[in-house]
Amino acid sequence: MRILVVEDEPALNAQLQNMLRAAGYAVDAVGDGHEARYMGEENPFDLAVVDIGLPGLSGVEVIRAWRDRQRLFPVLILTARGRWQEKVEGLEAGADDYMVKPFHEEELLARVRALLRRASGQVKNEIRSGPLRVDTSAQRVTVEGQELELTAYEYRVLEYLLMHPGKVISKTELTEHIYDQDFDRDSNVIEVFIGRLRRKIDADNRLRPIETLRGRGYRWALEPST
Amino acid sequence: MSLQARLMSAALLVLVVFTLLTGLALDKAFRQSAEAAMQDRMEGYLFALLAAVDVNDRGQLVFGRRLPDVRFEQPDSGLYAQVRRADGRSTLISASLLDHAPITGDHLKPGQQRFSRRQFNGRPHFLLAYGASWEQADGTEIPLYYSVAEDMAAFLQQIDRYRQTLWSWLASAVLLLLLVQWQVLRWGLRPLRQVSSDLAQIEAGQVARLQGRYPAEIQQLADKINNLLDSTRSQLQRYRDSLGNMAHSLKTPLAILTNILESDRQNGPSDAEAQQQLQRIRQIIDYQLQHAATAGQAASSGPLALEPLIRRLIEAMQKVHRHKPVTVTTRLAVSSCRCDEGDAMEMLGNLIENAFKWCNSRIEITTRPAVGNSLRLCVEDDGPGIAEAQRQRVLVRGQRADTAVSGNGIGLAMVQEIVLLYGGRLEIGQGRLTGAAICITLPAGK
Repeated sequence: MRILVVEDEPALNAQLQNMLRAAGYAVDAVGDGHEARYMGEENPFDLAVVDIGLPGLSGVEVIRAWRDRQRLFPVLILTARGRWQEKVEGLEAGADDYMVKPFHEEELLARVRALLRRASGQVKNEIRSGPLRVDTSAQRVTVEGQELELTAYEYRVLEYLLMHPGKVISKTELTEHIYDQDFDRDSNVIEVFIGRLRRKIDADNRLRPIETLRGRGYRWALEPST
Repeated sequence: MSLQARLMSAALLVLVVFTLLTGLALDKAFRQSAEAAMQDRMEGYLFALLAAVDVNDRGQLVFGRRLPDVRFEQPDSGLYAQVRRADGRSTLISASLLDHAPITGDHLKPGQQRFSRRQFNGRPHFLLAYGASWEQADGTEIPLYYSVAEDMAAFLQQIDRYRQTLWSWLASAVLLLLLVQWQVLRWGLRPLRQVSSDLAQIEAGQVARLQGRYPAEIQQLADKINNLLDSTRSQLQRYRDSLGNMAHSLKTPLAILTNILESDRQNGPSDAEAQQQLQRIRQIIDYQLQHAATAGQAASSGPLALEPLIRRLIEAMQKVHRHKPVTVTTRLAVSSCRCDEGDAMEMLGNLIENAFKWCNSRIEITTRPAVGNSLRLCVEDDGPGIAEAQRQRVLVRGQRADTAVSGNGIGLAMVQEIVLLYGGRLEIGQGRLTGAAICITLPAGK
């Protein structure tokens, strides 16, 4: 999952990046409205955290611009003033939730997870698919009760596939959603991650959770379970 | 002391002093002229007396002819005449003086005349005395004293009548003038009263500026007051803006500090203490910011339509709580309130946000008229409600009944603060739905 952080205060910007990266997300960060607008229009983000009080283009204007160009990823706004006028304007411009500064890390992450879940139609923290159980807040993956040891990138690939079950996802799309912009992208690495995930989830080649569609991409093949 | 009272008392003082002096002058003038007329008349009597009295050959005084006024003949008539030889050998009196003691004194040289007042027979009289000498045939001269006396009663009565007339006329004139003056003052000061009642309207928040047309002198004052109001208002706006900016610039570093402390996982006791202090700073900033940003009585705002505001807030909240299907019913029997839009947004925003947080699936927002041109707005939900014991606690800022749902814990306390500024009150109760019912009273728009 790839997140855009828009915050003009460098220290807070860096903290937001650290928090989100530590939680396992790919993070791009910008410090002003015009850049934010450009980044959001040009890249397929899964979510954006936007400070309302930006220099240049305000947060509300940035969100409005994104929505006008059909960029529909969830947006969490940060407001320092906490006035309702500001919150309502932000929500009306197209934001999905708001937080008043200063905020706690756990609260931010909870909101981010909730928004991502909501965007993919999930309701609960835990995604269940076949014998897989994925706890998105703890980033724990179990297969038939057995916990899997996954690297951060392996987890991101798995989570993205799980959030879009049954859909064909190209290598480019996967790359764009698990890496931030500054990363040197090599789509061959995706093949390596997919290979490792198959081995870890399905050591005896019985479940076949990830289908490969030659030249088109991958598809999560397991049915959601309860 | 009011302007009207000052002007009235000054006018009263001037008028009374002026009238008194006028009255006294007129009184004195009349008295003098009446006295002069009296003296003239008595001189006439005196000349008649001089002509009427003869000295016979025995040296006795006798009337040669009748005196000109019949009152000289009537006893005790108030008009008396007497002629006396200086040597006292003979005294002639008019018939009116028969029952009385003779008039004494006044040893005047011949040709000398004296007009005076004299207590006589226990009553005040005018007395005209004249000294003369009678030249006898043998060439000797007999000095004679002539006296004419007239009772002052008639004169005094005349003066009294005059005085009565004079003073009653003067008093009526004073009253009339005061009445006219009072009306003139009322008329003259009416624009001032108009300004004062217009200012009261501004104070009550019904209008924003002085709008009436006033006389030139007061128009200047009204213009100045309007300028002052405008500058106060823009200053208030500047304060609010700068407070907003200050909060913005303080809260970002605060957020950074909070996060630094949180990310430092080796939490020592001092870190926990620091966290606590940060939390306090955060609450203080939130509270003071909200407090400063609250307009309270907003003179500038006309009646504010509640329906669109509530709709916006509901839509915003439904977006945030998209995963939670909530039915919101609104029944607004009173459709507008008299308060600042920002204040209304803060109050309703907090109430509706709380309702969305706590409800299961239903929220009801109602307004109805309350006593004294105010309205009662209630937000009810079907959540767990607020226990009796906690109702006071949630109104203390920084207190949260439950820490499981996010919020900074100044919501309801803040709403209460704003409501109090509008002279209303906040009540937490049990609604028709199962959960909490928060009701506030606000001034209703007309």
